[in-house]
Amino acid sequence: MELNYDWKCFQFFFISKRKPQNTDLALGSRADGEGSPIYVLMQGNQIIVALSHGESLVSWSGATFDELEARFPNREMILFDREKVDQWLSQSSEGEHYYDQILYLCTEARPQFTARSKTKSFGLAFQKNFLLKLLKSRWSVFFPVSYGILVCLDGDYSRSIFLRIHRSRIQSFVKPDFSTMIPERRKVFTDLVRHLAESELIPVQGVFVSSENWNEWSAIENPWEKISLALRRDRTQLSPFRWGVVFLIFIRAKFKLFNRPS
Amino acid sequence: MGAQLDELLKRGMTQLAAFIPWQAAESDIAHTLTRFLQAAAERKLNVYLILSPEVGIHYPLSGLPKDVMRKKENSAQHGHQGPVNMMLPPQHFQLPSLFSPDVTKRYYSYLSKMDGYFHDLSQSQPQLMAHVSIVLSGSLWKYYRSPLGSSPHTFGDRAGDYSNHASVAFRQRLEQYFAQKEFQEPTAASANRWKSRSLEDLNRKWFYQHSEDVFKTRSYQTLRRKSSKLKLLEVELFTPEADPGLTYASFLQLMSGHQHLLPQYSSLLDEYSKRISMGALPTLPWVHWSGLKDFRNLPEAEKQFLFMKSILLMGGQTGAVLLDATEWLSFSSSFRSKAEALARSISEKNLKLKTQAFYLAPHLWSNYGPVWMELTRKLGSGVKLTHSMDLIHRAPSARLIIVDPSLMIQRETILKLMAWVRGGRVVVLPRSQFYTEQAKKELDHHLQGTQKMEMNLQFSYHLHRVGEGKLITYELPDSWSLKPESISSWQSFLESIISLAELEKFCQFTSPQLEAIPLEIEPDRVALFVLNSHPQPVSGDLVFSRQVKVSDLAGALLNQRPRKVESSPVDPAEVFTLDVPPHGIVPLMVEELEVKIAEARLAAHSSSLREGDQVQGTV
Repeated sequence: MELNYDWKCFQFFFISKRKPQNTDLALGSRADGEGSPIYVLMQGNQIIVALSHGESLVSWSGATFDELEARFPNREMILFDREKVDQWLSQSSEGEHYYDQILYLCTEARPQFTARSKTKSFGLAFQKNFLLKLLKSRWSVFFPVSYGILVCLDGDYSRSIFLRIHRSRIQSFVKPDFSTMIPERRKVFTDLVRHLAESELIPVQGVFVSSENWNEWSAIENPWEKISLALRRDRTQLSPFRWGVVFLIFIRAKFKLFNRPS
Repeated sequence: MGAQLDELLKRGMTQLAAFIPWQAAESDIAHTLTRFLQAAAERKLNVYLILSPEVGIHYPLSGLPKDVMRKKENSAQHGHQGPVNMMLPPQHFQLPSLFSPDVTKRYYSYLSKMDGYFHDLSQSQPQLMAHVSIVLSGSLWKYYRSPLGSSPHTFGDRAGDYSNHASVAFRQRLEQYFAQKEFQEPTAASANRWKSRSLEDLNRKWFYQHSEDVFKTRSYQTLRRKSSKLKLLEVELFTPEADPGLTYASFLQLMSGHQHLLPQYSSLLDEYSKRISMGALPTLPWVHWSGLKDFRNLPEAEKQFLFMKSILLMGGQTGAVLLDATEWLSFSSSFRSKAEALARSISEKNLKLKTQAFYLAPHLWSNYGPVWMELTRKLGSGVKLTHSMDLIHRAPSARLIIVDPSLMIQRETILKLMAWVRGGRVVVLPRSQFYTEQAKKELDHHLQGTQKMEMNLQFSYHLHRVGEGKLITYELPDSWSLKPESISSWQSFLESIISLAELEKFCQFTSPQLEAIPLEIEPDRVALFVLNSHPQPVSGDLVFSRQVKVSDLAGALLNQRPRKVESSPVDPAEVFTLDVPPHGIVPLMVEELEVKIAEARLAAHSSSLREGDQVQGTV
């Protein structure tokens, strides 16, 4: 039973757990001045669901938008129309896997803003990881059409993920199968990468990193300087070692080039 | 596989539940499954194999067959004429219709194949099946709801599949059902009244319930064809992360990147625990936290709260909670010990969520308006919604049935209700237009010569004494749908009924942020869990209607000397002050409650009903 989309493995590597703040803004509570945007899904003028960072807005379901706006006049409101959301949700199921589908939603969802707009992008939780951002960035012009990335933590092949990428899109994400390899060879990074390249018939870039470093990089916006440093100090290994890849990492770390998505 | 199981065993896990993805089973998993069962048997692990189509399975399309799912015509449609989108990883998909012949033929043939596989395995390697239980669940029926109607209230809308396949099956079933003699009285043309378009909503309710029951029974029978000695469980498996009521909240959460779904999850658990169903056997409520989506990202304290609440609500009904092994291991070891101790106490000490009242309705997953909502508000976890009189007969502690006005009343229904009421209980029956002629005659026959009293509390009703019990009948307003504006009349009506049935909420709180789950140990000893789902500590008074003694539950269960809860908690009192920490659960032992003699009498009557002239079948 092979999973082409091992979501649990994907979550483990790319989606860090968040720590929300906790405040309560129940219906009838006092209006505050500043705060994070309130996301509202509505039908006509009626609120179906409302949500904001660390706030309970459950009791606003069924109320009118006018009431909400009157209560929080200074808050940025991001509104979604129910019919359009239904449409996006149905269309998103055309995507091959969950990551593709949520990227579609994050790209397609076009909300309305009621106050001066500050929020520009959506679904950040899924696009925060530096490697996922990299795949969508302008760097992708330097990469082959089809290739694979193996990320292995702490030199333990059982803690690894293999991404198959085609035209900058993640085609599959799996826990790689090394069961046919001789146990001794599973400890050799180059052999793991060679095994995958031979079985998948695509070029594979292996990244061998400690879980401590991986978690640290995953938690920050721009970890490229740290990655570059870790490579120079041999705390992270690339297999095979490609000067081109190292050079791009160095350029990105130093000059912060190609940071914007393509 | 062996190494993984060893790791689980080392960490204290002895009960494993595994979903069999239908898609994978069709392409032959006999070899892998046998290896898994072998590895589990060697380690003496108890295995629960879930065979029914379910959501929240970590498999493409949740294990449903790809070719069936690709055909648009096989998709289910909710009541607002849209597909039922299932927004769970590893991919979004639209739920298939269990009315589609494509789907059902394939499903029963897959079940037959599994039946053959288990039969062969029991013959060739019986030791592998010694610790295996096969689980059939209520499957996808409960998810046929629109996100629009389910967002404010979980079951707040008309439920059911409105696809073309479902409509065809509905029309056919309508013809068959109303061809029964009972509907053709006084004349054959009378049957047409029942089939009129104005009654479509009402008819669809019983039709969906009936189809679900048939699905369950047929699944059960298919698996019993060859492997009759298999341990087989019937459960209702709820996956809160997949509930249509959370579709829009999840969408907003995805857009905002913020996480605040605890109130919704908590209320889903309450709703799930209040609906009980019957298959070939009474179904056990299971909750599955898949960890595939929002649950994983909840803060630790919120996850622990939901997990504990699930144990209390489902465990209190001999149900279970399924949790991904990674999620379980991500909890602290002290929390795991507490959760294990609680689950063990519930199981060993037979702690039970006591049912005081039933709401008898034609369909489990539909909306039942203000009477049902008001009843749950007044009696809390002591009230259950069901479609089955047989289930009601199995709950000896229940003292009240309120019949939903949209329930079609046949003669058999009246017979069952009358048998039940005679044991000193209360039944509330609407005088609606949905009685058959025979049912009307049967009811009149039972009420002839009984003491009758007319009551008028904003709402007029009749009270009849039947045996030792009381039957309340009332005329429905012109329109049988209950309008929210008439809610105050219903409130007064319900209050008088609840007091007539001598029922009350186990306890009350001065703070609306606190909730209670009382699990009965003995009639005079109750394990009371006070829950605070809020992120702030909550202080409030715990109020009983009579004097009780309150002590620490852990100490009491272990027969240790109780710790003090208040300054002098062992002294009986009616009011106790509590401080409940954020997302906290305070366990208390409540003793010396008045033991009601009536309860013992009701229990005796119930057992005689089960042993003797019990009327079979569901309403």
